[in-house]
Amino acid sequence: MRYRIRNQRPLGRTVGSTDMLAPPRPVSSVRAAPPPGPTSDLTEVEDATLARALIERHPQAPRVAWARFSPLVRRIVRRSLGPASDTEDAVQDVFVCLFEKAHTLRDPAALKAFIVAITVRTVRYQVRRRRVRAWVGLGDTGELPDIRVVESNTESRQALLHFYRILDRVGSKDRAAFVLRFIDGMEVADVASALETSVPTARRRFTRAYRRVALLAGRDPFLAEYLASLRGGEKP
Amino acid sequence: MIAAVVASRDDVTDLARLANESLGSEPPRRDESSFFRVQQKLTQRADSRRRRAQVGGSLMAALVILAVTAWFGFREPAITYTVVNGAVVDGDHIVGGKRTAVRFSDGSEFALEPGTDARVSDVTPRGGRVSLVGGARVAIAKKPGATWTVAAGPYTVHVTGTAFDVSWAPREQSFDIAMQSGSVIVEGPFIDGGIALKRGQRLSGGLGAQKLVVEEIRPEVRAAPASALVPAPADEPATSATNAGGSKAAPVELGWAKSVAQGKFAAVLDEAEKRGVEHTLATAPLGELSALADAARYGRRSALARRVLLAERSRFPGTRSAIEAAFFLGRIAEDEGRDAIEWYDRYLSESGGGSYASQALGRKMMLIYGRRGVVQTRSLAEDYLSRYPNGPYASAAKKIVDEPSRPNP
Repeated sequence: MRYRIRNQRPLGRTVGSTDMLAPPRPVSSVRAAPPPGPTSDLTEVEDATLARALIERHPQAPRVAWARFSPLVRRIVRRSLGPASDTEDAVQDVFVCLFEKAHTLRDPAALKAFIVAITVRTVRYQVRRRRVRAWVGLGDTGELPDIRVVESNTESRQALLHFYRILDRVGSKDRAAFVLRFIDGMEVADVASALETSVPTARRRFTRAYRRVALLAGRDPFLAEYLASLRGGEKP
Repeated sequence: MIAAVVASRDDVTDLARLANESLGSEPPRRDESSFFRVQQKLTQRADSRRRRAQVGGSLMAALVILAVTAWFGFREPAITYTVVNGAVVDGDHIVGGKRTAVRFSDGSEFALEPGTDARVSDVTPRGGRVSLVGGARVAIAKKPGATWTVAAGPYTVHVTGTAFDVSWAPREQSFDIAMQSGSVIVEGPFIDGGIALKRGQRLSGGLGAQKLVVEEIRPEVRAAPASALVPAPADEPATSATNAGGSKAAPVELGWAKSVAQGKFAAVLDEAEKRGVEHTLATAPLGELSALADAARYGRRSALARRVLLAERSRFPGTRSAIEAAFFLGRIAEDEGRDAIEWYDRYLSESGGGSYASQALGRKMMLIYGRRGVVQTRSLAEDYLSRYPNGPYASAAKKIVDEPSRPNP
């Protein structure tokens, strides 16, 4: 799996770059606090300091990064892949990549955007791999997975499965854009950053995915009934 | 028509909200073991990279060893050569002395005539290129894939496995090759696309004579190619005359013939003039006269050549040289625009199908065609085709036979 991040912006910011193809900038030239010593406590440090610690292979840095960002990564992975997937393997792959490629991060302040971009790429790889496995007969077992659903009833679990089956029929880039925008609720600029693309392109992608999901959901009898029941109304 | 059913904006939002609320973080119990698994994966990937590097390095080393082994183990050894019998070697130039030979490790040999300048170049495991100025007897070992090239002035002889005598005289611009065995392809001036020569054929001429002649070599000449122009056949009175003349006569005669073979026509003509042309014509043996006639012809001294040839015919009538002199007299007459047909007729009647018979008959045919037209020539052309279907004038004869009958303008 190759990770190439471009046009990257830190999430929630307007400047910065995490172009991993560019040669790593000497850590000393980066504006921020001085690099942490080997015995420093990284638990409470800012992202930029943690990034420099990762780059300098600080012994505590991986664990702190894991503790700080694994919930975010896990959430994106779970929401992207759906309930029927083993998210943990993908989460681990994200952090393996992060620890191996940390030295390519140009702007330590953009650590979060860097991790999200790696996550999106990992998810897209998993989606493509799952499709190939389905083509060659190594697909899911068909059993209903154990999902922690807020509205813990069988209908909601079934609706979630049907919803992700629809997402499986959407292209991997469009799907990622849809998940980040509508399920994770990211800003458009952050979606573009995570997808390493421009804002108009990101907008085009999640709009296209939205239309496709709406079309397919309208054709799914179970979802149609489920959505109607949510409003206490009749079947469409 | 069935209308497309599309979920509303609220429906999609509801589904997205369901996913958002349902798919939160994993239970914390898996968190620590998952991080441990990350560390394991990192170690495994590092090991895997190291192993790949080791395997790649080993493969590369094996490839290098294989390549080196293949290069040095299976490469054909290049041909080497030695120069024997005291030639003067100046860099890659070899100057022929007495019995000088260049012997190659594949069994090929170049026996250089005295004074010949040879240069060996482009030596490969299968052959090489030898450039000659002068004469040499060449014997190329017949081996699969052998590619030898002999350059004699502007002429190039492509050889695979054969034996021949070759010479190039730069001053007279004359080229001569006499095949002993095998076959070669010669390229150079007056040759379009190369000419193939086989055993028993001779190609001579060049820029000096402004022409090339292919002829059959007499068996006795083939046996002693280095002295191809040495006239000493047992049936000719000149031989006995030479031998009778004393022990010094033979070397002199051989010297003129050799000089002609090496293209040193001027030297022969100078020597004859020193002796006195009249005296030479009256007293020289047949071998010397033949060499002098050749030197005069190649040196473009047509008048002298005619006198020598006439002397041959008057002093040694009935000999092969005298008979062939008739053909050469015809050639000289033709070059000078005089009547040559009579000489060609004489040669044809006296030789009874000699070495130059096909040329004599062909030239006669062309002369008659030029003067009297196709009607008068057709029977001669048919005769030519029946006797020499592959002769040098066969193509012209076929055209004459096929040409519609019309009087010559």
